[in-house]
Amino acid sequence: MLIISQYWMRVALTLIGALFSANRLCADNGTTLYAVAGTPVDESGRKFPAALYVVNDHDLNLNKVREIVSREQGVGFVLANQELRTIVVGSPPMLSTHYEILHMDSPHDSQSFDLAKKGLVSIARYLLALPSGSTVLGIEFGNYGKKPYQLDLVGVNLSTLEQSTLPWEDYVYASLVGMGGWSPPNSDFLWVFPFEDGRLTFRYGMKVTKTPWVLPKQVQFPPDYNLGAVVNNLELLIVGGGKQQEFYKTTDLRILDKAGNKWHAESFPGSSTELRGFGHWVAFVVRK
Amino acid sequence: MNSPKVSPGKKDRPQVNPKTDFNFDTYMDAYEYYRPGTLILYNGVTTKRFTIETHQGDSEILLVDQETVYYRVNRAIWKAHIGASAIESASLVAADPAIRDVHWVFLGPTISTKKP
Repeated sequence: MLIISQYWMRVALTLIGALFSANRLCADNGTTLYAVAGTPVDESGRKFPAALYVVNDHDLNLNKVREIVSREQGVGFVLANQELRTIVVGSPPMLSTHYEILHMDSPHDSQSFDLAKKGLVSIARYLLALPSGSTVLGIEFGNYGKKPYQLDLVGVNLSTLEQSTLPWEDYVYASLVGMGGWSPPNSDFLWVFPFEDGRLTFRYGMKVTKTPWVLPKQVQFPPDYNLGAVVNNLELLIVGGGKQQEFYKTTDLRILDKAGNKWHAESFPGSSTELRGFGHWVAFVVRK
Repeated sequence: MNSPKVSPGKKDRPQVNPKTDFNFDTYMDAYEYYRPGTLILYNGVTTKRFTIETHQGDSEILLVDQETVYYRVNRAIWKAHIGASAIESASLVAADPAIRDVHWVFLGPTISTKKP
């Protein structure tokens, strides 16, 4: 009798386990669409929450998976990188100190950390794809408005959460996806200065990082233009340019097809058009 | 100062309290921006361009996955095939009030979303 009961219990447990697995995760390499809602702002007066949803195929509604950032905390920035399969959501707005990490291949798991440096504030953040294969969140800390000006680049490994001081040369590994979802200015953007021979450098303050990319003479911008890298992924590098204050009002771009090592000069409609990179595709929202 | 041009589709956008929720029209007015509802997809290798006219100012491309583009039009997510010369076979993926705040999507592990 006892043997029979144990047998049926095992069968029942197996069935429950199988049903649970089938319901939760049928590994067929990602055909479920997940959505992240939230609006980052670069002011402290208003705060908006962020949440992860999954699209319900049956009624076309969104089902909430979980809250990522509460309304009280407020979203400061979102870095969503398809190539690195990683999303980082920072809070609160302006001077974020709390970081939520979402891995696109295991979105139901959550990971987070807090990071602040005494006397310094976090100014900007970048996702770096290091040659070792690690994905690192680079956080720029500065003593904004004070002298002497101090700038530190701290790296947080997004698998182990180990922190280290990054050399500025690591900026060359910044994986930039462009503007998405009302991104505050300067998010996911690096200033670019070309040397006389057209070699591009990423710069912040007095820090210079030489890149392997050279802008040929025929597609160089006029010398009085400010330049910025807005997309840098495995397939494309996109540099935008404009005159001084007009910088954010231009859609004149230089686009490098990395595999073919070919540059294209392109203009797009709109005086302040937003763009995002997805592999070799660039998506624009025309804005005037 | 001239009043800014209103982006198309305002009557379909929820006019939420800008103090507690993100209000597209309040933001556009404050910065004097105008979005005509034109989305452009550009292939950085072939230099081919495609245009999607949504006639809704609050629109954006959310994801390009191989030859499929996912884009948001106000409170709905659509997907379409990137053809040889045009964006084609557009179909509705989701329609939900929460979508107006969705700015990022991704394809992840499949789960059943069937309600019990």
